[in-house]
Amino acid sequence: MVHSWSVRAFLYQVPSFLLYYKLGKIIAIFFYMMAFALLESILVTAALVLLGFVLPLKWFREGFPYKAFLTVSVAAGAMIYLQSILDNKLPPKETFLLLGGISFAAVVLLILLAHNLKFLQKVLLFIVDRLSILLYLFLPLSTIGLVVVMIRNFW
Amino acid sequence: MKLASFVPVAALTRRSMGWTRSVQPPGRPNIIIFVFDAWSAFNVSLYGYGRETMPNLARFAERAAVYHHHYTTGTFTPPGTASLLTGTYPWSHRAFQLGSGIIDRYADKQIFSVLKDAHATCGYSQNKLVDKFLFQMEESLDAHIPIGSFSAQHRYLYNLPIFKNDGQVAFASFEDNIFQEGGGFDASLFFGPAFRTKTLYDRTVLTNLFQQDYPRGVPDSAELFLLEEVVDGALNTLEHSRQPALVYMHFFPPHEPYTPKAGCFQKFRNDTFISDISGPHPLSLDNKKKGTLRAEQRFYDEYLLSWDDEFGRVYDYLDASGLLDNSYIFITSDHGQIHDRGESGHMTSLLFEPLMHVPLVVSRPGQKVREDIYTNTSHVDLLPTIAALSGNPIPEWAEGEVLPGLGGSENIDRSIFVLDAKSNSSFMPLRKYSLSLTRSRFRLTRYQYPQYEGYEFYDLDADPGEKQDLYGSLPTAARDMQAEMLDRISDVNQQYMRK
Repeated sequence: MVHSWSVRAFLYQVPSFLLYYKLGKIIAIFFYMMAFALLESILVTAALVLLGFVLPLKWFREGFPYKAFLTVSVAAGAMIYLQSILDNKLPPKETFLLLGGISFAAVVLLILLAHNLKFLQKVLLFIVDRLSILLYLFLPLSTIGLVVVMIRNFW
Repeated sequence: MKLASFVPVAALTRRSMGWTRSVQPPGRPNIIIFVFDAWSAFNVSLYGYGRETMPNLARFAERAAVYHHHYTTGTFTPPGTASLLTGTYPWSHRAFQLGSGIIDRYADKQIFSVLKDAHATCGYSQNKLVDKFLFQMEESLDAHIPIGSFSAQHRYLYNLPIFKNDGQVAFASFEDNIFQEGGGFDASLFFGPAFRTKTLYDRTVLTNLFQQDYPRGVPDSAELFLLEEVVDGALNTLEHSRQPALVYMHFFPPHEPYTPKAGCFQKFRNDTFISDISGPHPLSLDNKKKGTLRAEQRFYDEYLLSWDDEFGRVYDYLDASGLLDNSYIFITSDHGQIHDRGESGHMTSLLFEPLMHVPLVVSRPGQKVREDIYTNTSHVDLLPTIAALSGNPIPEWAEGEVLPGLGGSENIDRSIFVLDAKSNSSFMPLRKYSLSLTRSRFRLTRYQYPQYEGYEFYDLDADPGEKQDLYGSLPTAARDMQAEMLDRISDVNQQYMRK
């Protein structure tokens, strides 16, 4: 999810990059973005794993793949909405409280729903399984990205 | 007060080793260049403006050469600054767009590389687009002072030490991309909005903290800063510089947002000055009403007055420290600013006097008397002039001339170009552009865009406000200038044509 969002942003920028960067630099920028997305993904995953350890077994660790997927999906939706309203001025505190509250409620509700509906679990796990194919693409790209960033800065 | 202003400059610089060494041979004059961003000569009292916006600049001018018809080469930061630094027109250095750098073959052909053997070289910019150039030129810099050194807020990531060798790509990756500036979507799904929220929170705190001092908000270059702290930092840098030095300092004021200090806020509110504002041009994007433009012009003037207060401190320091006696001091801008023809600011394709005509005031070592120079001059003249003044040969790539009053001669028939090609690729021939050619008292401007094409021709002596387009009557001067313009475009496009 993190990588796909990053690729979307990169593709959005490419037309303007083409005006003033040569191909080599554009590829380097892509790898910077992939490397950053990898770090972001690792930290998000770590936070979910931590949540699994902190919360009671049945709440989160049991059925971790679909519960984590639901949590990340709702959080991603909330963050995309937040991105859309952020400008040069900080939105009122109420906006953050409302967004946080709605997101939290949505996660709890969806997890409860999925916990009790086997069919929904199956659908979610099917989606997770399909999405995991992207790992075969993004993981090598991110690894190359890290190498590229290191080579460009340390050698 | 922020600590950074009091830290010795060597502690702040990305490259500081060379800055603290003694440079040979001694006895050469320092070259100090102050650039004020988006500073139009149109709004400066020294150039005949109806409001007393810059009394301290006038004080400085009493012992300097005042260039009355000095032009930038582009109407926003990258093209204008790149020309100043490389001595070439935008069609050579190709910094056409906001995010663009100088093309590789000019990255080591610039003012710092010309002077680095005999001068300690130092670059500082509050404008990230110029700081990016400084990254490109770091090999020629003894000291590159980080962009946020004198800011009250820190938000940039591209200049972190881990990206020390790759500032340009880190810049393109992080700034306005992984982390957005202002509105829009971040490439980073989770950290992006979190980082922006934190940045906006910091801004709110600072704005509230300094509300009394800055009633219209704290000065903002994407990082908030205080005018007095930036000047303190600059003076601290000068104080610690090894001589002879070439110091380039690019300050963000009076660039918008216009945020004067309390003492200058509303200073011109009740004056009787009314500027003559024309209606929108076919290429105007904003189409703002005249009342709005007049109000914004007043805000700009008040900010100029506020910045001039700070400049007064710089001038007093230069005088007291003796730098006026052993330095050439250049004060200019990267581009102008317009509040006319429906447009406010400078991100426009229009080429009119307020956008192109920038101040240039130069003080020679020990100069005591004011000189006024009325010949047309250009930003491309700065590099050859500085090369000559510092005893270096004028580089063969430089496209300008030595400034009159500083060793050059007055050339009233020379052609001065200003180019805006922000929607044109840097690697392709010029197809979409605005180009003006000023020669003597005439100006020919060509707008070449899919949505609008046309020429305009003005007699600047008879019509300094460029109100009457004479192109329809096609005087002889216009025909000659049109031929020269088309020849020049054809020449510069040659190397970018597909074989």
